[in-house]
Amino acid sequence: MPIPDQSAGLIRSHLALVLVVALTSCTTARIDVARHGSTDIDAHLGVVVLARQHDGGQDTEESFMDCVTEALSEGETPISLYPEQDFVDALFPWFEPRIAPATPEALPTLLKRPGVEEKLAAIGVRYLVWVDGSSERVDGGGGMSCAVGPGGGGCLGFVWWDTASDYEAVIWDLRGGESLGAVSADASGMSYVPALIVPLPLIARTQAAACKGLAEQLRGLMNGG
Amino acid sequence: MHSHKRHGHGYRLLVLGAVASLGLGCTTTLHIDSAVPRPVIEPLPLNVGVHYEESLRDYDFDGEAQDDESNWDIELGPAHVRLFKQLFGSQFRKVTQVQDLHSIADRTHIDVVVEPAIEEYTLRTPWGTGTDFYEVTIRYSLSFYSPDGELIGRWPFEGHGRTRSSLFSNDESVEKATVAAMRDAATVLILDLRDKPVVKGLLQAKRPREAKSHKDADS
Repeated sequence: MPIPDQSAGLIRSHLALVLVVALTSCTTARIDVARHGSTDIDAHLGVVVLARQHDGGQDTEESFMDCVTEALSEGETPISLYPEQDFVDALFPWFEPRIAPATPEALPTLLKRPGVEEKLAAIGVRYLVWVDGSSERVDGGGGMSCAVGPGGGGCLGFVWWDTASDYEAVIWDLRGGESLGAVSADASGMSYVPALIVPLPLIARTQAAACKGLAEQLRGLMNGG
Repeated sequence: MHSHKRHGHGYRLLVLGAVASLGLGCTTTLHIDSAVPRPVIEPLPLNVGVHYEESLRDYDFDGEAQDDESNWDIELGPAHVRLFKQLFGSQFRKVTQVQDLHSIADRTHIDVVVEPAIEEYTLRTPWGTGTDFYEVTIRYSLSFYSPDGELIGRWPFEGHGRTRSSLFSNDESVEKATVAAMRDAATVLILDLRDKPVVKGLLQAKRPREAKSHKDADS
């Protein structure tokens, strides 16, 4: 069926708008690495990645934690990861939000508690990676209205928002009681939803960019790179 | 590094609100099934009786969330009995469950009887808090009784938990926040119980007696 001229014009202008938006929509990421000590991790020694908890819960999204752990346990040099919840349960209550060690200086006191060092040895975890941070919508605007009638429906408008993803990971050596390094990842980007009959979301994947950068640098840091 | 940003939740809350409004007027029923893990602690040298009052065993939160009109029916009693059994079993040298505070069968072998209770359960949802989080606070009390059934002390404490909301699974978020609050309360109990006057007194009284019995056994 031939497309009426008016509809074809609408579709062309919609596509043009999408193209312009897609070209201008982007995510920028900055990764910083700080090495504090030797981190050449033996593949047989376990690593656990924990989300830092504040005020009874974690700010870091579970999707981000899943992304980081998946990225670290795959690839050419996979890192042996101990499951997060199993670790917290095995050491209960010493990694609960209220009393989890805030600095590596608190580790010797923790290790002296009855049964803690033995439990760590039993589960085979030597290194701890604390992950903190979250993604937040920091700004936004625009508007969109949608309507449905007997002849069909559609939306018209333009909505945008900025997202900032700000994460940090620090590596502790549980046996040595010291910090071995830190990686921070900041990513920001603008998302758009232009709508000319059909809304078309163009989402800036800042969290994915931060996850990729953080995991790559963590892996490099842990492999002594 | 991270600050708690409370702005920019408009769109998310709007979607969550729309999802919630679909079930307006309904009550969400939850059974808390989780139990806390066995704590890595050294037991206190006390023989303790534990009394679980019916009000704890059958505790049910049936009401509205704070600053929000969503209705919840959350069964908390059985999970709390499991929580305290696990905790006290690790915290004390010997634990005996007591059926009646005033007719304890073997009172000579019990140093103190404890009775945990839930005083209040508070739920706050993202609509109430204006954040992306569900928050739960549970206020408890632990009453101490002499083996004769006389009240000798009472300790109020609380646990707090929160969890990020997720679309279409608000019941799962509330369960996670509740379990986090229970774990937090368990942590308080583990950390602070030995410093409560009743427990401190019993431990101090026990020390010379135990030292003497060790000495007698050695000679």
